[in-house]
Amino acid sequence: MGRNLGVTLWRKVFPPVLSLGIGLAAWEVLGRREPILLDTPRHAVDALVNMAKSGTLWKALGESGLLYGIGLAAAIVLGIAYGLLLARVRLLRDSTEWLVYALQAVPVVGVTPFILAGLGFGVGAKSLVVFLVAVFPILINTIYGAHQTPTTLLEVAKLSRSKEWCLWRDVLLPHTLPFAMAGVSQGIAAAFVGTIAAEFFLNPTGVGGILLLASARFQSATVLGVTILIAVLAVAFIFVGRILEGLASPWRKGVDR
Amino acid sequence: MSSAAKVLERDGGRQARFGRFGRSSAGRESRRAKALANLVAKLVVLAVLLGVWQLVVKLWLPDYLPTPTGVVSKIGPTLADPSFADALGDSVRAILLGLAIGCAIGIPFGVITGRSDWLRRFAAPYVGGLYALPLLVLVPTATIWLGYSSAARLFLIVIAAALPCVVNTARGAQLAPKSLIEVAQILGVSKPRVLLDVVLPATLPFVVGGVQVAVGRAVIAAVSVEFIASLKGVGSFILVNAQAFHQNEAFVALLILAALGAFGRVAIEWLLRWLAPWQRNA
Repeated sequence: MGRNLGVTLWRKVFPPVLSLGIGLAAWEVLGRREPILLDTPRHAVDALVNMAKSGTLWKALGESGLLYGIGLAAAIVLGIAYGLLLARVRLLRDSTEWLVYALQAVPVVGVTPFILAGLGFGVGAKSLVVFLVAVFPILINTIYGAHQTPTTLLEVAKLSRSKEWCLWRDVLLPHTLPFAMAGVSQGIAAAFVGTIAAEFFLNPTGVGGILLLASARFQSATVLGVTILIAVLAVAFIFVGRILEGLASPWRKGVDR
Repeated sequence: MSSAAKVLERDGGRQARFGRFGRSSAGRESRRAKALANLVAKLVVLAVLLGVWQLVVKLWLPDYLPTPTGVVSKIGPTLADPSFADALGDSVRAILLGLAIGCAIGIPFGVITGRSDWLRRFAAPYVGGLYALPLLVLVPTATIWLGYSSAARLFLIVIAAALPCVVNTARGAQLAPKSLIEVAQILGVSKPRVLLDVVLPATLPFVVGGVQVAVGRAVIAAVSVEFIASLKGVGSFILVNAQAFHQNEAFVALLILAALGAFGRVAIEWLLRWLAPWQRNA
């Protein structure tokens, strides 16, 4: 037992700890040599702590969180709703499904100048950017899931004169939900990308704003600190997404991943 | 119509769609009629959308936004504009070079980390962290290190392209069929040859999936750096024109950018068919 634990530690825990340690040491050495280009880890942490103490960090996180929340919520509601609608309304599916795939190819970053020109840089315009980035993975996964609903079940339900809402409750939703949640899980990560894009390209507020302004002032300690904070948040979002995905489809665990 | 008749009708439609039954000539004819109806429905939706867009901009939104008629009228002039060709060339060259470097780094790295659990865990904090990170966040660091230059753009494209290649390739290499590898080992095939002849072919579809993601990310990375560093390229062409009341030209550039990304993904799928014809259904 003790030996097993040792082996597990050696195999699973040691490698990432070692690589993080090497990375930190390399950063420290390089940071001492080139303090302007790459400030030391210590200063990066100090910069974060100072911002946290003065409250700017919390204010920025709040601003970013607002965009993120509005954009993601809209993307989830509209993405799933439209995806399910496409599953049941054939005319809509035949006429608009191709548009979804075509629009998805447009890089949202390239659309931001037009959003800025048309809607300005208020919370609404920025949330729109978040929405546009997050909605496509959700919508496309929902459509895909609805396509996966076994035709036989739909036919049996119809033949047994199932009411429309019963059909949704008993057949369509249970079969589509896991795929929709996979989409939401991707959307959770994508919305974060959208939030940063909105803050970079519309007007600098929130966490992205801090980053942009600090880099214009060459404050590499702040830039590095905030970059790492964002990386940690991004990993956390992906983790949350995975958990949600697992909750929605416990029976798929270990089947296709 | 009774509900039974509705069921029958819907069933007929479904069968035609999946082509399981209804191979009779009547079925074929009704399928053709359906295809035509589909096309009409698509065109109607497209026309309605474009009409609404035109109207909304004309009636409510500022007139320095692109309109469908404006965009169509500017397609020719923009394509003929040498400054656009110049900007597009700059971006595409940077994207292709960055993709090539990113793949050249990412794919071998992915194969190695996919085959060695220890190395995969060793690299995981960086690969996972960078892959999760919105790439935009790296632009400020890149501009501090490399200046507001095309080197910063290339750096970001390389990172954007390399990570999906690493992650996907590693996954593919991990899932390479164990039985084949064991057979090769029993037959005394050397380790590098197993990697080259067994693992790599089995990994190819995953590699292609990774490169497809990489194309989209590379385009976004290029545009982002061009926006922030005002570097010559399609991104800054869009930005400058959108701000200088040449919104329609800017929109044409955006559409071409989207088309290029889509074309890149399709081209890579062709490449897979050519490289690995046995993987057609993967």
